[in-house]
Amino acid sequence: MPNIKLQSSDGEVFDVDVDVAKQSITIKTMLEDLGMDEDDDEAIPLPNVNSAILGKVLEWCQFHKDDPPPPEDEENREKRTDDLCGFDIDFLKVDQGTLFELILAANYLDIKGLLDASCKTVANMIKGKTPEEIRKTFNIKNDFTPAEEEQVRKENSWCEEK
Amino acid sequence: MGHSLRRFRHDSNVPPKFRRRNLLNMKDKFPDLNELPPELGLMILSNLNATDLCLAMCVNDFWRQLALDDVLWQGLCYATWGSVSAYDKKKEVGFSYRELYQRLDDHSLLFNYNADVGIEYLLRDGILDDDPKAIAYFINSTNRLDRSQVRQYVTKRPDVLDELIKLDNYKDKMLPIALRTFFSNVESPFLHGSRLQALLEKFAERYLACNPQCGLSKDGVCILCYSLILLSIDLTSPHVKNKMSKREFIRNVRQATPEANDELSGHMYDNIYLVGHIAPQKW
Repeated sequence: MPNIKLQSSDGEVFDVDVDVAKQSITIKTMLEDLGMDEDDDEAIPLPNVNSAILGKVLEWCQFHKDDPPPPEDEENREKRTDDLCGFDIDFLKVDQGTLFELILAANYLDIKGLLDASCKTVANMIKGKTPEEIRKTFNIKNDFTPAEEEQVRKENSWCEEK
Repeated sequence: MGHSLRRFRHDSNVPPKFRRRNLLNMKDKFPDLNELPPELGLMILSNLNATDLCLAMCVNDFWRQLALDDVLWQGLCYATWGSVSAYDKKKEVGFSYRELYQRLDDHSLLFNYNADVGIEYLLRDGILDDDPKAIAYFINSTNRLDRSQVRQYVTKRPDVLDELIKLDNYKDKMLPIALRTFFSNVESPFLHGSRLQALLEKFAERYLACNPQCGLSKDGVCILCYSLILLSIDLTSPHVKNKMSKREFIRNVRQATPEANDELSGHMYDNIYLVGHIAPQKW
C-alpha cells in the first residue's frame, strides 16, 4: 500500500496509508486535483489540525477504512442518535474540548462519518436535559433577564406540556 | 427530580472556594456551541427532536437564535410528516416551518384522538388540500398517526383508501408480507366480514399490478389471502387446540385453488408461523 505524509499544524508528520487518508474528502480532492504523486516525499500540510487531533482522526479513519460509502443524505428521515457503533461511542468518550476540536477537524477535512458521529455525541449531551442542566453541561451563563426568560419559556410551553 | 435536588443540596455543602476552582477547571474543558461556526452548531442541533430543541431555546440568547433557525424546523417537519400540501405551496411572508410544525403537531395529536376532526383542522388551516390523493400521501408518510384511527377513517373514505392502496408497493414482496402491509391501513377484516371480499379484491388488483409476472390470477390471490387469514386464526387463537400443520396447510391450499404452488404455500406457512397473525388487532 502506498503511503502519504500529512503534516499537522505543529509540524508533526504522519505517515499514512493512502486509502485511510482518502476518507477525508479534502485530502482526496487535494491528491486528485493537484496530481500529487503518491511517492512524493513532501508532506501535505494541514494547518488547521494539531497533532493530537490529527492522530485521533487518523485512528478513526484506520478503523473505518473498509466501511461502505455513506448513504446519500435522506432529508425525510427521522434522525437517530442511538445508532452509533461501539467503536465510535468509545472513541468519542473524550473531554468536551477534544470533542469540539474533532468536530472542527472532521468538518475541515470533510470526513462525513466522523462529523456525524461527533455531532450526534454532542447532541446526546443535550438530549433530555432541562435548560439549566444544559447550561451546567456546557458551562453557559444565562444571559436572559427574568422577564425574557419567562417570555421564552412561554413561547416554548407547547412543547413541554407533552 | 428528587435525585437532582438531593445532589444540589449536597453541592451546596461544598466550601465555596472549592466550588469556584471546580468551575474554572470546567471552563477550560467545556466549550460552548458558540465557539463553533454556526453551521456546525446547527448540525449538532439537527439531531434533536422538537422538545429538546425547545428546551435548548431556553438556555440563553445565543442558543435561542440558533435553535430558532428555520432550517432545523424544516428538517423536523419533513422527518415527521413526509408529505404535506403546505410544503409545495407558495410561502407567504412570515411563513415559518416552526409554526407549521406546531400546527401539524397539534392536529396530528387530534387525529390520533379523532381522525375526522384532525383532518378537518388540517384542511381548515390550509395545511392539507381537500383531495383524496393529498390525504392519502399524508397518511402514508406519517408514522406517528394512530393506525386504528387511520383504519376507521379510510373505512369512511373509500376514495382515500383507493389512493392509499396505490401508494403501497408490493413489488417482489411475498404475499403474506404484502398483505400485512395492506392490513396496517385498512380496518381489521374480522369485525366487518361482509367487507372483506371487496377489500381483498382491491388488494389483489394492486398486488397483481405490482407483480404482473407472479403467475397468479385475481381469484387466485384472493383465495390465497383467505387461506392466510384462516391460517392466522388457526395458529394464533387460543381456542383452536389442534393447530394446522405445514403439510395440512399445503394440502388445503392445493385443494382450494389450482394455482397453488407447494413451495410458496410452505413459505407462506412459515411466515405466519414465525411472524404471527396477518392482521394483528393491535399495533
